[in-house]
Amino acid sequence: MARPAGPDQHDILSRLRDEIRRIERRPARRPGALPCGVAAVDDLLPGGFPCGALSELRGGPASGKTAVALSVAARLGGGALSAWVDGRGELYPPAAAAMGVDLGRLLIVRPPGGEEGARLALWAAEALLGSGAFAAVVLDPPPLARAPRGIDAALRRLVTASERGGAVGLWLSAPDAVLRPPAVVRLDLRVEGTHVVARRIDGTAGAAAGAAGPVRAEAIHAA
Amino acid sequence: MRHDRSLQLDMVGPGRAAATAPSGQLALGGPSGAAPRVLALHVPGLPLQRLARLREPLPGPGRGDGEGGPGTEVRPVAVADEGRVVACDAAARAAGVRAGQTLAEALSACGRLVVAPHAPAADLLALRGLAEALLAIAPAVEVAAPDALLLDASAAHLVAGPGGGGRGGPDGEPELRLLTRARAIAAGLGYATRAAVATGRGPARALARHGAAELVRVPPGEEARALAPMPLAALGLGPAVEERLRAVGVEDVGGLARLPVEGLSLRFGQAGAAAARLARGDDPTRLVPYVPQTLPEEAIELEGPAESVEPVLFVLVRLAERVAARLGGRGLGASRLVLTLKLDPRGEERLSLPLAQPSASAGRWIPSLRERLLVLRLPGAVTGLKLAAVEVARVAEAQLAFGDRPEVATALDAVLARLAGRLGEGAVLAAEPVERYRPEAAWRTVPFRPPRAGAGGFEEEAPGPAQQGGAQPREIRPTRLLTEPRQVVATGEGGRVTALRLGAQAHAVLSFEGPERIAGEWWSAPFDRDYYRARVEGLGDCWIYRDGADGRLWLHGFFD
Repeated sequence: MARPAGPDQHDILSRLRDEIRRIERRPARRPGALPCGVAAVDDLLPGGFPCGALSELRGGPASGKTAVALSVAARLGGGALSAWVDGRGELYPPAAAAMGVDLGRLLIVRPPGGEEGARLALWAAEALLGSGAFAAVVLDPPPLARAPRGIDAALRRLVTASERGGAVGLWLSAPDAVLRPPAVVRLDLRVEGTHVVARRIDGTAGAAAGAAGPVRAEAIHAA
Repeated sequence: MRHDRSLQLDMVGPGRAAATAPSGQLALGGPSGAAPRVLALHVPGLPLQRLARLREPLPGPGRGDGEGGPGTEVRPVAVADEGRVVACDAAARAAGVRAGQTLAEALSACGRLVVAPHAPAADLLALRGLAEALLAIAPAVEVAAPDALLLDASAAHLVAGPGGGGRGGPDGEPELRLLTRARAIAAGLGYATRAAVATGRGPARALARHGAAELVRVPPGEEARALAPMPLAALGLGPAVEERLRAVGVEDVGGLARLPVEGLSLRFGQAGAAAARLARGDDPTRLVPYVPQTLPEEAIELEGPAESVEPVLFVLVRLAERVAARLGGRGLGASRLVLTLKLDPRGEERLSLPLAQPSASAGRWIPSLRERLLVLRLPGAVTGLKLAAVEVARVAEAQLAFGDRPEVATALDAVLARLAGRLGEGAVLAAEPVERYRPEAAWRTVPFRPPRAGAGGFEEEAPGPAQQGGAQPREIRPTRLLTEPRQVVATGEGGRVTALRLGAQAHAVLSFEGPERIAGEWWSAPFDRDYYRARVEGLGDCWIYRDGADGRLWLHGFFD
């Protein structure tokens, strides 16, 4: 009779994985989570964006999702590296530098556009997440009219790579995006009147829509 | 008794050694206190060794069908110059080939003989490559063509032993440690050597070439005694002088040392006096340090075509170790490598490999090289490899400290190589601010090379925005800049913008701040723009400019 998997078993598996990493001389996992420094967003998340998992930041073209992701990169410190898979080719580095991101430690990957570009963007994000060399990896996939065939397997590999590398994975998506990331945390950023409002939309208890107070756009850009 | 005396001389050092040496030696101009301690490294049969290290047998499966099996036995090799054999390997000697034979004689003695042309320039390059690597253990290295290197051994006490131990290491004697290290470095580059440490360039070189053992250390002041039994050829006096000395009954170095200097001067001129001093172990001449002028590259020809990655990688590891040793000796690290694969039957594939941080560690390079090779589709089998360091930077010796993570640096190089291999090098970049007024030109792409902190890790405190180079905009800039600005049409009333039409859709404008005038670059492509930050319903904060040339409005970015 099989014994149900308990928390002890989970710990043992986690320790065994770490031991294998040590033997294989691969970078150690980073425990915990990374806050972004924007209080209203951090209030929605226990300690910040989780390491070793994907989080989705969903929002319109000027909803503040890029600024939140840059804030995470700016707060890394300790010489840690971050990577940005810029599928749209729109990231403006001078703004990132003005927000405190060390451009020397920010790798920008610019895959081509289109369906093949989306595949390559996912592949690049998987490679970066799984490498263990980066503390945070942001994926801003190119816009697509329809989901490419066989993309599900790539999305599953992304989850595995996140777990393996231990980085914070942030997926920036538009409200009408056809690709839905396999994210643990989903955050919706929306322009409502003169404010940007952040909400958790992953169904986590205590994080219902509207539970968070509004996040002022100025506050995000000044973070 | 002699042994005791040599120990005593060794302990008091070269200057005192002259004072305590027998009076006859002093009168004859014995070892000078000014003569340097020199380590001579002799590469016997350098042309043959150079050829041997250029060829690499392939391991196991993966090599082409044309080679392998019993047909790949080693063929005898000879080096010929102007129709005569100047050197041959052991297999050729066993078959009856001798130096000095005509090529016809040699080939008739051994029909399978492989004849390579004598290439003194290539031999000199090989010596220089070895000299680069030896700079890791000596403050100065002289290239003494055709087959020797002379190292300044005065800093032997600073050289760590093979296990990394410094003074009082396992070998105890610093000069013996230096000898061992020098030969080990040469072996790592594929050369078998003989080595000797003595006072003076001439004695050290003679002892390395003609010494009784492969590794000789002569205490200061003992050079004359060590040189005495050697043939005259050991002093490198030239055949004419040697012949004349033999004519007067001098057969060895000891015999030459016993002759009075004045007599030799009269009979042979300055060359005779110099020969007499050398025979007594006196050579005060200084080393002529070699200063490398070119970046290292190493090549290997495979002994059969390789059709899979694994055998190529096997050879590449050796190649990388050789280039790394040469760079390391000069205190340099490669920040870009170029691997050239020679293809069968012709053509080549060239891979450029940028590295995130300059490194002289082959272990750091291999995962990146492997990643690039794995995604490569070659039109033919590989028959040769050449690895060159084309961009280098000075790297400091760094000790690993507790908490450092060199594996992160290795993982970084590997993932960068994967990305560059699949997406192209231009798609993997870092950004650097540029002093330009035009917003889209205010940054440029640079290779991703994060600043090095502790050994192997990236542990430095990140500089704040003010510490970063280049221009920092004082005004808030949009986080997204469109690659192509999109035209917008404004509608309003009473001089106030109330809505913006973007494509077919109109959006209400909630606020409209500005303008911020950005203009300039009259010397190349003048522009004049008034930028506004518009809060637009359904979109958020947009960056819009009015083009001064025609008054049209353009959406340029989002404060996302």
